[in-house]
Amino acid sequence: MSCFRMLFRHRHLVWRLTMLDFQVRYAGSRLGLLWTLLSPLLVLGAYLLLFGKILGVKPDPALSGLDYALLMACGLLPWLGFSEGVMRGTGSVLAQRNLMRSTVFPMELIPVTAVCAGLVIQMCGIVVLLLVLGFRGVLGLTLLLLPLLVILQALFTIGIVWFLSCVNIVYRDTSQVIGLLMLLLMFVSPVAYTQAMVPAGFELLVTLNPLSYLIDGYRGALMFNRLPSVAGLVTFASLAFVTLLTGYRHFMRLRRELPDFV
Amino acid sequence: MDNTAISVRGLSKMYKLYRNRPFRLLDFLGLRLGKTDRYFEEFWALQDVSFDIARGSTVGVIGRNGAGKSTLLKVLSGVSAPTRGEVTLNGRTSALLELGTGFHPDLTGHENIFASGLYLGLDRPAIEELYDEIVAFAELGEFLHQPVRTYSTGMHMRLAFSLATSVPADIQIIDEILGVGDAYFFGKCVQRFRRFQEEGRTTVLVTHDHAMMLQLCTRCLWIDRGTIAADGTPLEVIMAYDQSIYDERDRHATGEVTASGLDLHQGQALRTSGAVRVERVEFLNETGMPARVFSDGESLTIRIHYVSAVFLKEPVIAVMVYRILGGTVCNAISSMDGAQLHLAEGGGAVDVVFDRLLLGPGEYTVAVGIYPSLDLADAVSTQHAAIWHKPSTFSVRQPAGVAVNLGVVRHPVRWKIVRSPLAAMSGSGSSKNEGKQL
Repeated sequence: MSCFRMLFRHRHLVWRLTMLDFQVRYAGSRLGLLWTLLSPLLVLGAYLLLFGKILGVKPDPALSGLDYALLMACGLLPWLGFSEGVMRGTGSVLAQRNLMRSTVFPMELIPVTAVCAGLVIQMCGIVVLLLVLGFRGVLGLTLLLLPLLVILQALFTIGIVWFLSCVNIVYRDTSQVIGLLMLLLMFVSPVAYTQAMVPAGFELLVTLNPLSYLIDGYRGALMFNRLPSVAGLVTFASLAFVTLLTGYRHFMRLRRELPDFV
Repeated sequence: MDNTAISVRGLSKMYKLYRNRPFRLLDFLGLRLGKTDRYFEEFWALQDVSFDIARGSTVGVIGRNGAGKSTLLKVLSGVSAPTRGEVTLNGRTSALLELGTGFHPDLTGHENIFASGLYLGLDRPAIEELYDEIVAFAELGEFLHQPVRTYSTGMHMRLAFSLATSVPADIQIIDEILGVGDAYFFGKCVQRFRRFQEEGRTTVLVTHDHAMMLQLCTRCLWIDRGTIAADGTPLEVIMAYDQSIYDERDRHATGEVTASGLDLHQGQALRTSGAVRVERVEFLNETGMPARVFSDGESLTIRIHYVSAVFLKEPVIAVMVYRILGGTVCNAISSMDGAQLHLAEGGGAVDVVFDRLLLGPGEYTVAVGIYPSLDLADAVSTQHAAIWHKPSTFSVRQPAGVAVNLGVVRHPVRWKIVRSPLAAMSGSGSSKNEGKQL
């Protein structure tokens, strides 16, 4: 549990580091923070064009074009938050190796910061999404589940990047491999489609993919005013905790040796 | 209260030199099959190092490249973990090991001060409190609000140094980065270090700059091949270090045939056999008593005590007087002065007498060389039979009531008034003072 204590103790520092991350990322960029909204929108537009218009994907014949866009956004935003966190998080410790080589800064916070930055981008998008959904009057009490989903997603992602960011120091190809994996994972996750559309015989793709539980949770809570299945939620929650604690143990075991490897 | 700021016991640091990358990954993940020496070779950057550093002292670390200086600082500051042994630091530590730690090139100097604050464990109010001091010391001018990537190396260093030393700390550890500063900034650093010493702050710094070491440090550690080769006052350690560099050069020079080959061999034979040796050097005043402090105008006698297994006819004895902070002041060479000396079998002493000291106030040290013969046309002579180069100083005192720097030489001069050329052109009238000496 020292992991949670550590995260809680440094919560202010993590927050300021996350803000610094944005400051650095958009230093000298003209649109600056606007990109956090612009880039998910552009991706969403491209996906709508590809899946909706060109491939003609339609989860439900009754669904209007806008509803399909919202349905996709419900899946796309958490997905982007997750993949952004994993990809940036994997390279984060290596990118900050100067810090590791010359200060006693608690390096375990660096991957956490990358994940938080991904979540901030995601939440900006979700706020806009909520406005649109509210306008259309589809929001319900299940919205209260949102913080729980975000926290579970955060823990899961942090656990993953604690592990990957270490490995990336010794095995630099990790971030390349992860970039490719994320691309593949995107297609086997129900971002542009729903679980219901997965043909018989391929259900395993959904059941074994932890992200499908997460995306389904978001979609249910935000759009359909539907509680997630208890089994699904418990599965993802336990997975998130196990990932977090394993990642933390791994990182802390190697932490003292890391400076000698960079 | 305990007066020890840093205590190091049996410190060793081993780096693993992996035979290939997959081994590195496997070892990193803790998956090790078979013997460890299949995976990596051990490289011991530090071996069984122990020392204590007293509170308020400024300790300089010297040594050749790759001797383990930076490794020592890394382990001291807690950045790198010791393989064996213990490091105890009593107090808050700040480290400046690399230039511009945590500086983001695209952020401005101003923004980076706050960003670095986060990495150094200072929150915003704490940085705001130190902000003015940091900015004033770094003297970046309008560059403060420009991205750091536009900075020169010197500006970069000034900001980093200013930040690292403004952070409240009891112990500060600084690797060799001050070398990129100019003379003006160096002067400011010296003042700052003086203040730290008064405040009782402990500093450990690596530097190749002997002058800085002598000016700033109260103690000096010489690290050689991962161990402490010498530990003492800066003067002692620097001279021992320099000696080792000369010796190294000598070793590399062995076997070279020069134009004056015969002499070289004679000198070398005497040297390697240790037949001629300078035992010690004494400074005597007008009354013939040993003294360390002289006034200008007084007489100084440098007495060279030697031991010789042979009778040496008309050798050349050279005495070099130099400033501790660098720079040869004068050389007395017996053959140039027409002195015909002999070294007696068994031993004896030779005096070099400075009838009237013309040296300015300050501290001086001497080196003595004895040569079977010396070709003055050869600038880099290694023909010496014996060299004496040990810390032994005399000083010339500052005249009472004079605070200004009088320089190295009190050269005798004459003064006179010359009719100004303008007055000469205007011609008439003011010719009264012409040619009159003051």
